[in-house]
Amino acid sequence: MAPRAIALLGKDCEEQQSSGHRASIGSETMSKRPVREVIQRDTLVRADPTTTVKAAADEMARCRCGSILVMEGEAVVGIFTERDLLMRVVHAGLDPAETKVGEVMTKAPDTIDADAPIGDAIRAMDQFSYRYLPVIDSGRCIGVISTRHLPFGAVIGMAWEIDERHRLAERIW
Amino acid sequence: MPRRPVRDFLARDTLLKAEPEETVRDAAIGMAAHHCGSVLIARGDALVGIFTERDLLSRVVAAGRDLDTPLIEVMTANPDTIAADAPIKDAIRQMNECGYRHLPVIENDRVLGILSIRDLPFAEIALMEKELDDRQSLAERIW
Repeated sequence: MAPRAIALLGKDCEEQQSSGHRASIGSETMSKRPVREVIQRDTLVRADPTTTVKAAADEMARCRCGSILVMEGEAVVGIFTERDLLMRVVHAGLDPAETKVGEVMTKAPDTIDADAPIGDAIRAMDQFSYRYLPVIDSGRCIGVISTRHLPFGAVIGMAWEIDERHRLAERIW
Repeated sequence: MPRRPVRDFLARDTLLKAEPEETVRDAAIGMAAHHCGSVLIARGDALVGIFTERDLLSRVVAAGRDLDTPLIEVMTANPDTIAADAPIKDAIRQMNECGYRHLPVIENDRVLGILSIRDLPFAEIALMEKELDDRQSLAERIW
């Protein structure tokens, strides 16, 4: 399902023009809808911890997916992403054919509940620079939400809030 | 609202560039050092391609190529770009339609920088709401 964020921007934009507040654009609508609506696929892209990075990369490329869940049975024990491939394998000089994905994954990744609002996912991804968040439904992983597939309108709608947070962070640091 | 050009919204971030004959290893070192997911490939100032983490994944590691492969063999040639003088509306339209988060900005055949989704003015997007929605509905029908 393609997100309809832009359509939902309309009402808030009228409010913005009358009140002069721009922080609320989008955040009242699209960003309050549940995360489960923007999960991209039905089947999980997954690997065992003992899978080689080469085999994991093959699977990610085949599925055109930038991340792969590392699972033991039904439990997510880690996530391995394009960025990990760059930083922890290629840049670290490791051989993808020899390295196990369990050795270079991010262990016990943060997750988000399928019923949480999309806005919470955007906030978490921005704050911790995550590009992928496993989505959990009743204790089971049902997919991954990625920055690439976040609804355009919801991200834009939160840009002001996010920028403000960055300004605050800069002052704190 | 005045028709402001793309150049007005360019953030002054480091622009990561490499020559097409440089290797994947060179690019990976630069990308890792700058925590940057893409490198623009340029001959001098002329943009010829872009190399991203996704290309590293699918065209290098998954394809079994080694890190000494020249970038020209694994980059995406002739990526979509936007002119620095184009109205920002055109950039918004293009990013929304194609799902881009980043768009190389060109001026007189020279790479000027990268426009990020974060740089977009959302007052302008709000005004384009009807048009963008129509396009999205169209895309839904096609897919």
